[in-house]
Amino acid sequence: MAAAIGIDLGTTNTVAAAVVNGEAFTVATEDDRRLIPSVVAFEPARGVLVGHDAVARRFLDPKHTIFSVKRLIGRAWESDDVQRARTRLPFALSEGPNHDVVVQVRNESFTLPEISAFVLRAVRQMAEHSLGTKVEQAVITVPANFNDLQRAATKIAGKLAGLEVLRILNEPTAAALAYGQGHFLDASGSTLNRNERVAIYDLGGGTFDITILDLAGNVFEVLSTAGDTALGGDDIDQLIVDRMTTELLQKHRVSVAGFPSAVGALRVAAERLKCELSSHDEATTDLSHVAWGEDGRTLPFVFRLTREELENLARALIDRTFEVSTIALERAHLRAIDVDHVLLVGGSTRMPLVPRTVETFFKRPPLLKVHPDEVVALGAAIQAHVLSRRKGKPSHVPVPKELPPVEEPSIRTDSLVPPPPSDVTQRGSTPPPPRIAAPRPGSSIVPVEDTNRVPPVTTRVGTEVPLLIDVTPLSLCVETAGGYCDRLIETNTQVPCDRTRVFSTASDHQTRVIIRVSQGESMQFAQNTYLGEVELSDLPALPRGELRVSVTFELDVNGMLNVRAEDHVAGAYGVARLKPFAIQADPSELERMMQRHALYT
Amino acid sequence: MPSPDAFRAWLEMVKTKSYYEILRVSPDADGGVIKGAFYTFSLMYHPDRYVEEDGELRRLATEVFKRGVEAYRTLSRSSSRASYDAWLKEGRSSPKAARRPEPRALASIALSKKAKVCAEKADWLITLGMLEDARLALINACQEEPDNAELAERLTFLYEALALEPSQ
Ligand SMILES: Nc1ncnc2c1ncn2[C@@H]1O[C@H](COP(=O)(O)OP(=O)(O)OP(=O)(O)O)[C@@H](O)[C@H]1O
Ligand SMILES: [Mg+2]
Repeated sequence: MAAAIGIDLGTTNTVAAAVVNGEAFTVATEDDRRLIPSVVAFEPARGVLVGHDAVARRFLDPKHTIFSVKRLIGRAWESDDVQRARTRLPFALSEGPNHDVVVQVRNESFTLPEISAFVLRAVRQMAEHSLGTKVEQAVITVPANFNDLQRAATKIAGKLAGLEVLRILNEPTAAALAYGQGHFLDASGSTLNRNERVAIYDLGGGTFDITILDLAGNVFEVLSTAGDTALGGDDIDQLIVDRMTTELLQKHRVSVAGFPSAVGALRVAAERLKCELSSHDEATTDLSHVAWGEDGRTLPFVFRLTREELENLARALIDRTFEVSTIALERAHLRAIDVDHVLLVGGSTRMPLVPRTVETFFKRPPLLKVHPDEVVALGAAIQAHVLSRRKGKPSHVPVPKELPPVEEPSIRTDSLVPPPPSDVTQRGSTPPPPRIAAPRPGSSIVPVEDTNRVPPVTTRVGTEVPLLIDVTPLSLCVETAGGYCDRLIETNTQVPCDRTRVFSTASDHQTRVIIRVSQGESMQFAQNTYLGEVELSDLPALPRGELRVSVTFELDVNGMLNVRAEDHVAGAYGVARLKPFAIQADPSELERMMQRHALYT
Repeated sequence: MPSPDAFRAWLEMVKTKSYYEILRVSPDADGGVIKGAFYTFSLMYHPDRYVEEDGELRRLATEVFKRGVEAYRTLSRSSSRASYDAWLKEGRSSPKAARRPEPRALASIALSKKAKVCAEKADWLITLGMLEDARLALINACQEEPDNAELAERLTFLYEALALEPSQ
């Protein structure tokens, strides 16, 4: 029997988990490591190393050792993030055939999904080894704030690794699921009848996300989500590196800029120092090996940093997480004190500054009950377990016995098509939505001790199938005249959802309509992420305004966009596909990548 | 397990149903009841409840669920619910006018002085039938008052009334 696993594909680390015999657990390597660095090293002769082995090559061969791919995946070459990363990363990036980013290694260029696929394939093999079964399906998590292109690129990575991607799941939602399953079950595995409002504060290596959910029994409703896909522990490392380079310059008048291996060494030292300062007040690192003087001798350089200094450096970044948190609260019409529990997820929340500032912001200390590194993968595994249910196996999904009564067809001909929902986010003083009434009365609650982050190695999975109701993080708009945005689907709309808009032609005998689509919160079309365009051509030539085309934007349960178009006059379905931008989704290209991938494994 | 045909019939019927009927709550249900009803609805029709079924049933469940989302989003916020209620009242009594809520003058929706000026211009352009220019004026008004939900909603309506120039 093939297994379905959950994979937390992180900027810095990747973790896999599975459910076996009702328990979710993270998968370990033979030497008992659970966090696999998301690093891929290309050796001279077609060899590829992934994880810890690859990390070791970061100094030896910085040009061919690829990391932090997640910060670039699904982004357009021209974007600021890519251009900034280009100057910072020691390996070579260039523009791909489709506005995307490719990395150049040893006379070959790889797309970013291909690089991530190496990581995914490695964790898949690790899981197969550990579970003793084949692994063919997976739920892969992404930051809640990932846009359509980033999700699509991640899905392609999964395919290239030979996985059927059951779901692209938001990381904080996965964390909430693992938390809920771990703490809401009674001894027999039934769901406790418990209502809680939780905030998941997830600060990892490259991204920050905050998600607010209502947990009611086995329903997990995401109320709102907000995030920054370029804010994480890496940025703090960078600040330390900047400080190191400044000191080097002051002390020895040498600049390491332009020496990738030196910068790489500083980054590794900076990260180590940062982690040490999570448990110590002060730390030093000897960087004498990093730079040489003109005579070829190494320059003595010991770098010292106190926790207080680090916190001063990091403060502005951490403050930004609370700006984002404020947005999430506003979107849910909530105040910070309306949240019952705050859960910390991601390695960077180990910095003491984080729980301290979280407590100030939410006016309650965070709950240290989930394992910050593993909880996302555990949640993904639970969802993979849920989504790989098969007929015949006992399942506990309450199946509907009946649909809402279908009444006699009404004789009215006027159809009560409702007006478009007015989705304008309101800020300010709307009272919080009342809690849902408890579906079942008073079962007891498992007493949960407030221990200090005891890592739950396993999480029990309930017998009742949990249901996640997630939302889309970003609005979806079409371009209107003058470069403005017309929002079709608002941020924070539950998925799956759709919205139809009727367009009519503007000039006589117009046979082509092009609709450009972007995703984001700006009213200026160009400031959002451009997703692509939908072209309707070969329309019947009719006087202006007479041809009506309805275009339906649909967000699927992965938060990914599909577009459908129908032309009213002809009554026929014109199939319009969104021509995606900045990713390679075309089947022949995918096939070519699959074949190449096979060469390396 | 409902048959695909039951789903299809439901989807056909839903066109004539109000959001309250979709979620099976009374029109005076409070927020908590609506939320609870949406959970019940979701437990029944969310496509993830049908993963072991064939693709067609899952697709139909998705369509049903999407209508629930639309209903929930409208009814779970006081502002959109109020305008929906108003529309429903009119729609039921005079189906012809039912497409839209009675248009209020844009200038009376705008609150600040600057926004009012733009909105007034938009009102005037609408009476002249210059919808495209009206829309630009209304966008300006909206930018003055980004939190004004009703104004933004009117922009949506105006947009729908407009022909779309193909870009380039
Ligand atoms: N003890 C510690 N103190 C401070 N920072 C730490 C500590 N341990 C790990 N980190 C930081 O946590 C980050 C990695 O966290 P994590 O593994 O959660 O990220 P990720 O899942 O790979 O990234 P993302 O979720 O952003 O894609 C790194 O920046 C690392 O330096
Ligand atoms: Mg992470």
